[in-house]
Amino acid sequence: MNNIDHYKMNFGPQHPAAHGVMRLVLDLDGEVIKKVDAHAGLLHRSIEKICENNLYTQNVGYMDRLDYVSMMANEHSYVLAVEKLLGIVPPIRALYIRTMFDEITRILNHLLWLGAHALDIGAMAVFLYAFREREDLMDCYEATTGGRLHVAYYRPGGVYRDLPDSMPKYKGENFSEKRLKTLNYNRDGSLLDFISDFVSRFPKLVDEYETLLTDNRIWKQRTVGIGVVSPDRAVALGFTGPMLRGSGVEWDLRKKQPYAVYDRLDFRIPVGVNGDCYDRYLVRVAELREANKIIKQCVDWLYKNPGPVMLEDSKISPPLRMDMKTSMESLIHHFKYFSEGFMVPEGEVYAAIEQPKGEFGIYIVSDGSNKPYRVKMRAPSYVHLSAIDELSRGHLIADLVTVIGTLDIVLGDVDR
Amino acid sequence: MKLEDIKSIIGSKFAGNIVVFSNVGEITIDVNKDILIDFCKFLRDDIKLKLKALIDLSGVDYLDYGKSYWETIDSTKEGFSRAHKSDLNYSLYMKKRFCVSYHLLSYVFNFRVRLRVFVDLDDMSLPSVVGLWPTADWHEREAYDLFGFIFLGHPNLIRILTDYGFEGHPLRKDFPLTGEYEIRYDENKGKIIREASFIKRVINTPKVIRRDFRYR
Repeated sequence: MNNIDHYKMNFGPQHPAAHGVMRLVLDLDGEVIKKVDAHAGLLHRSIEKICENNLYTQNVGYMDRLDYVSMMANEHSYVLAVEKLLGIVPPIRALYIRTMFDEITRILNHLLWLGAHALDIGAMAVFLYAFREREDLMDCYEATTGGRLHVAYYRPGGVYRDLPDSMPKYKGENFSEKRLKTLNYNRDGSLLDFISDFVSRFPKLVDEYETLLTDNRIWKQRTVGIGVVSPDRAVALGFTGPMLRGSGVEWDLRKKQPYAVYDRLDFRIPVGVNGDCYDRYLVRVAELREANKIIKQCVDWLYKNPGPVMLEDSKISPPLRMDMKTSMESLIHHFKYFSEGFMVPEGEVYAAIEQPKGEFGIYIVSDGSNKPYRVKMRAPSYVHLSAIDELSRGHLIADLVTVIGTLDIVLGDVDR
Repeated sequence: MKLEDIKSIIGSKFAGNIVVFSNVGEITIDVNKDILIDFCKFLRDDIKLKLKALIDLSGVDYLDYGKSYWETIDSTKEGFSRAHKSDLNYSLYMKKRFCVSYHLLSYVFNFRVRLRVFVDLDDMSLPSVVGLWPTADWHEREAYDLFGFIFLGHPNLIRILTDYGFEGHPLRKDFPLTGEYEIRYDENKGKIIREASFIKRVINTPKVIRRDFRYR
């Protein structure tokens, strides 16, 4: 027995703390981690290959399935890339809607992360709180697009329909009348009314999460000083998003390379100091509050400024159903749009956005045809997961779970 | 950072081996693989560039580039059978069959650069940049896995995304979309077997190229 100095242990592929199908092969010295060998790819679907064989518009739906907790943000990156190649700019209202939904997506993602991270470390209650608010935001998704997760809402040239004027309500015999009244109290108006009610409630709810965690002694013991990354190292490792900002690098694409309407909005970029799991937690919680502020500004603007949400260019957007009944040309455009799609000029483009997890980039090579020649997704989770070995070396097995949580990985994104 | 600025910074240091151009506002630099490491080191450490972050690394296979399906011979329930037609003899974007694109980002000066290295099928090797940007580790493993580039000097160049024991490089254009093998459980043999895939590929929407320059 004395000859054994390292144990090998399998972590996953079916382990609840691995957040999906990920296999880690650990080299252990007692309980101390000597090396982590991450085996990604168990969820590999080769979406890049599939995208090469689809029309440009057909690919939007596949973007949802990459990082399946920040759906609209992925779509945004893809449509930005196509728009950049086409040289078109969507109507301003579409840009505001995109910005609003990007931030709603950010809250959705961070809430899931917060709940799951706390659950991994041992705090059950936060998960329940977080999912209560996620439900409201999912309802916003559903009211607007019809889907709760895989929405396929963005299109090259705008978004596919305007925000709805009414919110769906709870009904049925399973609820008492009094209960129905409480459930439906903010659903009488339009979607914007519902969101603005949510926005006014949300800061207090974030306070609730923070009372459970921020000054909690156990939470601090489990996160402070775990997985420390220095700023230079974070840049060298290719970190983006909260992983980079937690280390104290002030970098946010929304500020530095603004897309959509972020340059018109007032918000701040939270930055950490020590670069450990606790700082990244603080950064993400602060981002929840900032996202809330952005949503509020977008809602205020959207109230006042009705208008088109899609370019009225029949070559890159479908014609109105009404026109198709009377206009031959519209019928032809409709047929061409859905059977052949549109040609995108030859060239290469890289469009990146600040997705909740970091920089999500799409690299499209076009040869001038109606299908992208090559689509490459730059997935933040993939890059962050590649650093798991460095982050967890020398820590205990229990801390590995903290590190996986703080990386905020989604395996659909890692494996593509 | 403008195209001219980059050109003047690079200057004559690497003259002859480098092509710099810009498209839709993005700067692309084509570089020979012999000087890749020196050039990357220059980009990373130069005081006016400071491209400290490698954001993305991806391979491209240009085998079918500019080829459209144009002639319908017959149409069956399996879709259209179409011949290939290449109307593109030379393109700025295609020089050899394979290309590796590096997307670099400078946090200090807030600009991006795309670096491209072309290689051919008979020599798929090129130097690894793991020594310069540690994040290239997994990116290069992925490019090896999906395209078959050999990154010389990479510490652990093994497959990452595809299955254990996978053969072939799936993102090459001559790799079929349906895959080459299928895995199924054989009841007679009582084990999982692998056999050649019999799925036929159906093309419902043919690839069409029409250069009408409507959007330029």
